[in-house]
Amino acid sequence: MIAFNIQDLWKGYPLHYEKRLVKDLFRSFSLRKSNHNYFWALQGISFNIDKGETLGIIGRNGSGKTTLLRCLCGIAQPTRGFIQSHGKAIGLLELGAGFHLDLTGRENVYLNGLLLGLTKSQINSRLNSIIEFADIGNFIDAPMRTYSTGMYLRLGFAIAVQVDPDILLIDEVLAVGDEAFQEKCFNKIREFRKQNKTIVIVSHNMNAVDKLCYRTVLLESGQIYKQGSTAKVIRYYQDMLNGTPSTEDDSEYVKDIEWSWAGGEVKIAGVDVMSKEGEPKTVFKTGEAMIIKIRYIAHKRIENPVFGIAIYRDDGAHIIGPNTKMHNFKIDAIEGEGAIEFEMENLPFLTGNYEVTAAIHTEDRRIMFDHQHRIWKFKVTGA
Amino acid sequence: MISKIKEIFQWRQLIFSLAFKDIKIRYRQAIGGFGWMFINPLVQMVLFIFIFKFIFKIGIKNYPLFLLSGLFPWAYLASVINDASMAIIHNSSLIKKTNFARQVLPLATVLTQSVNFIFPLIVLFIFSLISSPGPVMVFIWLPLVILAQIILLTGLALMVSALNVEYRDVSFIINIILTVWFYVTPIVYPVGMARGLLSGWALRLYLANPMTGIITAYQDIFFYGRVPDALSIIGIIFVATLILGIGFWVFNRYEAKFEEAL
Repeated sequence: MIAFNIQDLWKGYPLHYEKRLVKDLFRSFSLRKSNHNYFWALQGISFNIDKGETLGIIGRNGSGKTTLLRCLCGIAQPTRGFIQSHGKAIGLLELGAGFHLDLTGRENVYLNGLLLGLTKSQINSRLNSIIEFADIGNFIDAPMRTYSTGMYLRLGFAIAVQVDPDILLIDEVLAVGDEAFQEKCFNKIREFRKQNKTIVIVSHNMNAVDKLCYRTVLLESGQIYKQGSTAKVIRYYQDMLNGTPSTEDDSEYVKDIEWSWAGGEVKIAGVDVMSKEGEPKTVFKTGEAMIIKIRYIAHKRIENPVFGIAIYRDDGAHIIGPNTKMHNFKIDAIEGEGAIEFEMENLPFLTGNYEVTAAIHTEDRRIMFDHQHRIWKFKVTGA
Repeated sequence: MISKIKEIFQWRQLIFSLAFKDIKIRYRQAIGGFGWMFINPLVQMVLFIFIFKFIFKIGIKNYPLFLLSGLFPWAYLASVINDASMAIIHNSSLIKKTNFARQVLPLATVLTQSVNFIFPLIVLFIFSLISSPGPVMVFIWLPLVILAQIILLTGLALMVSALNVEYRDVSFIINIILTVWFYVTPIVYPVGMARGLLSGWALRLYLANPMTGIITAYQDIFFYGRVPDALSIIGIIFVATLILGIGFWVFNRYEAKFEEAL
């Protein structure tokens, strides 16, 4: 299933918009249509966004990211080409659009909610959960000019997540707020992802894109410069910014292969980080034993799947990435629910926070069934 | 067109919300609150009574009432047009960041000003009851006249809000048009005077101005205390609907370009 089909999308903005009344009158006499006074923000973009996918869009300022998102939302009309969308799309290009500082939080909830397409009765029934999520207590009835920036953004996000779209388009709104707020946003987006919603994230925050997106598109001068697995594209982008030539990839899941993404035949149901006895555990000591269990659901029979994990330090450094093929652990076929356990008898990690990625793919590494990037966490304290 | 109207209808709650936001913001922080809505037309009334009783002697009996019956509805029109011309431009961030039927913005300005118009209407109503001998029954015609004016204003609001985005000269042109329009509409003088001066095509052109009929109807109700010309009101509603259709068409034509122009 496809959420968006984007074909040869061009978007031009007329330069010199001002003082055109007289010119237009003359033009209608001369019947000459000028075409060259355009700034082309998007220049022939073509790609698909699958249903249920979380896609990242990255690129420099002015590379066309926001324009692309506006086109996807239907706010901007393509100058050429077309976009086919399937499902109700909501764009979050700004938290708290239409908020007025002289109105109370409550009044603004209604105004902003209506702008996002909610009805009054929907807002009424969701008001309590909005106030709760925003965590602003009695301030809800105070004028918004008394709010701190954090409260303002929390309220904006709280309303936005109440809109129940099939497709959520997010522009940079994750880059705001403190860490606690960001974590709240991330969790909400993961929740949306579990509900199989399509999510497109435009961001300069590589950490956020890396954490949330399977696949990423890199834009440069209104064109697709690179697309593929997030880690690979981010590396390209960082090399591009640093002006260094692209280095060969060494991490396990980001080798220079164009992964094609399967349509959810197998899904990772969850990952448990456990002690040797199989008890859930989040804090380990260096040298302790650890079991990482990948629970899966295979909706149909899959032959020779490969299960892999990767462990990252929370600053993004890739530590290890074992998989079942590497260790000659042959799985003939899977079907239905099941689990695979990776056991480490002697944890080689030093003190720090770590994150676990889990993946299921084909033996030839051409098809990725599911890839949950840096979602599960554990902590290591000294021996 | 039908689907567009349906789409706009779905956003009706937003129209109300935006309109009442404007009203709330304007009056909430003032100590006088909503009282200010009355004070402005009241002061104008008292001033006119004073001026035309003691300073200018005009040959029309109870001229202040005559003047106000035309001036208040005119001020309503002028404020709708002025606000609507900025309705899209002032909300550029909403246009660029949220996706809703853009018609909502000019429609909300019409609604805001229509609510504001209630207060001068009440002042006019009381003034008329006190000083005019007409039967109270004529006031049942008032809603129809207001309806005709609202249809006309909605069409104009859609038109100017869209055109002003595309051509920024429009807001200047509007000022000139409003000034000329004010004097070719029988507000400060009775319509009979124009009928006496003009003839043939010039008179027909003069009467084709829908505001002439609307203002005359207000004067009939508030000043003369007589039933306005029903045929004329039906004609105005027809013309106003035509202008609404044109406004709707113009808006749809330029709507997609707002995001590029702002």
